[in-house]
Amino acid sequence: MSSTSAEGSGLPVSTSSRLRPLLFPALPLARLRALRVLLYAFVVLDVLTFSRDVLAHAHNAGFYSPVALARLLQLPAVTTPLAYALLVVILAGCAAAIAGWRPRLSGTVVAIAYWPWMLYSNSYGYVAHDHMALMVAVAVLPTVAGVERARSSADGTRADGTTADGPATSEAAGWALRAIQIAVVATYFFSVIPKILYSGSLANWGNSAILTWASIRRGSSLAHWLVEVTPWVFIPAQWAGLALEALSPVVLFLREKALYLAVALYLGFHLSTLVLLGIHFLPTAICWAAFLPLERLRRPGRRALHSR
Amino acid sequence: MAWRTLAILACVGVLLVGGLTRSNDLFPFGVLDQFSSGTDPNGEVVNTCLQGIREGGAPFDIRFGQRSVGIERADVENSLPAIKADPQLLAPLAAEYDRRHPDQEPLNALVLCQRITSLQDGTAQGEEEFVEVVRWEAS
Repeated sequence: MSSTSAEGSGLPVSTSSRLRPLLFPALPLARLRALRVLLYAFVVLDVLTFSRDVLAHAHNAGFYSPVALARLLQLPAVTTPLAYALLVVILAGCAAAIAGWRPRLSGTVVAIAYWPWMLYSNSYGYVAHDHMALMVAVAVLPTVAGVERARSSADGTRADGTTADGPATSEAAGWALRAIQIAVVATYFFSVIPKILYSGSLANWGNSAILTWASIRRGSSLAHWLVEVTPWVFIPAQWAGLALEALSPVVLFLREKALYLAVALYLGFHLSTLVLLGIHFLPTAICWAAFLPLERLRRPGRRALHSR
Repeated sequence: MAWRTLAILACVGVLLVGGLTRSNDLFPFGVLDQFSSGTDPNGEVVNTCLQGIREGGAPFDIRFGQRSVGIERADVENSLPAIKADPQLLAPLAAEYDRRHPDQEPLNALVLCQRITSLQDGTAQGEEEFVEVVRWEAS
């Protein structure tokens, strides 16, 4: 993939040359390697906390209403042995992936077990929307070859972009990172459509009492205080949220400081919903890491060694 | 390159269809409709609740969640029509609650209820109203 020419891509040359920098930027394999460690560690946290409801669902077979993909895969209602089997496979796969053992194989094992796990988590009434980017990440991470050789790439890159072990960057890594980035952005952008459809117009939603509603139903003491003392604050907050969602695709084209500022802005948004409503959206928030130059997060000792 | 481009286009396409058809069925690329129904500033806020009743005792509030009744509030709310039609769907919730409270008498009844707050100009007005939606009773 990394050395595929436009002629060999199966796409017309003009389309290919325009798509290439957009969807296939040559990005450091070391970045992907760092992201793998972060995301697989998060998947461990996820199945043990946020999506742990799969274990409880084993007792609620009467609530089982499988989503389309679960029906397509003919998944039966989850049972306790099945839930624990999936859990063990996910945990073992993540441990291997974090350790860097056979990255593509361990990543594939995680993907094959984690997707049914998430289908079960979301087939008992409520369908959550905070896992889309993480599910995409788990699916695309195993598609990248050469990650195991990226260990030393940030330190030993030659002038021609290769290391002693192979290329330091790859378009396949760029695609995987881009796919996760697009999934992150889509999580916000596509939430604008139902706001228009369900509320009649964006203005109706922006001027509604949705945050008051959410605060009364699940708000923290701070949120309840806001409802009582400064209820006017919710309308501008709703419009600010709408702006963040509608403008989210812009982030895909930002660079350096502007990009980091944008990432901080969206993470700040999640921090405020966490403090006010107890909604953390962490599975999406963690995927913002796909926008960052993680390869620079080297062990301090090693960097000092090379900067001499 | 071709399959990778098509994979992204296909997923975005499904997401678009999911959004336009308001379909949660297409998870993980279904409609992203969390908090999308703008609440009428002069409408009401319905807060779904659970109450347990033991022999001779007064009703007491029970929290939703995996560590209480084994299911989240949102799962129950989205299954409300089915539960109204068949209150027995609340039986596993009572069983899970009893299992987690082995030192106490088992529940005689589990009530699915709503606390309704009226809004005026986007702020809460007056006392909340309590409504019993459906009741499961131990046989």
